[in-house]
Amino acid sequence: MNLLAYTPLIDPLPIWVSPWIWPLLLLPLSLFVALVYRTIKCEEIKKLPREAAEFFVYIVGGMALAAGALALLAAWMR
Amino acid sequence: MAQRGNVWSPVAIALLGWLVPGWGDWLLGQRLRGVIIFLSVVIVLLLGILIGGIRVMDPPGWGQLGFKPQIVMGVRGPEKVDPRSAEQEANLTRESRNNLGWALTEQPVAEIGNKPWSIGQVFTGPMYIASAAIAVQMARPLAANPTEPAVPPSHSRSWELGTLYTAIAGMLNLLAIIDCVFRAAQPAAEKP
Repeated sequence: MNLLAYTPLIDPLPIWVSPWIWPLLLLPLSLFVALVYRTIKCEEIKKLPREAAEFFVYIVGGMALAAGALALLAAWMR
Repeated sequence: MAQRGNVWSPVAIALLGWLVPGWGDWLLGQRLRGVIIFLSVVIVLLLGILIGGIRVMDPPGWGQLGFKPQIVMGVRGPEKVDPRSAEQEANLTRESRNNLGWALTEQPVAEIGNKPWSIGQVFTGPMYIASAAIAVQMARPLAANPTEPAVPPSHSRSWELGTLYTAIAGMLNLLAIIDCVFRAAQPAAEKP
């Protein structure tokens, strides 16, 4: 793709320039999932930042553990 | 958070929550929650379109070139034909003998099943309808190159992440809608 012709919101973001970009893009998604989920579940809105941050860490930690387990399984199967 | 008496029915809350994400919470007196949900759903949807391009909004009932696929009675039974031009789409529609109708109305389960991510996306409300309409227009070929879409769909990680973001934006709004409906259905004294 010609980067000079790139139009935001029309053309896809050129995330293929590095293999490390796409896993990092899961972080903002996890952050918003944690934020909305805790917004709904939180009893007191004052506690929201802390609860959302904790939930974000759980999501990212869970994904990292799942990725590690799958990588081990793939290595074992090879 | 202080809660005023609720005058909204659960059905109205669900519809308004779909129309504008977070509106259900706003109407139930949880204004800050409503604003957070609205901003989160809009930002996640826009990030999805930014990552995957507008063509990640791929509504069922429209083909790769932005025309309506038709179900046509073929030799082996009904088969789907994806028109390659506006002229072909019009000709297919006029063929009353063989044409059974638009794929989305004739085979809705198969059509939506081919694009299951649209089930999540549709819960972002009118933003989905607007962006899907733009995506369909962008898919239509230009006169200079009538066989290719004007804006091709993205692929691999761009498409996967864009679709994931847009579908999750809708699922987050569905979560908020279900929560609002549940709270609206409770008697006023039991509300938190």
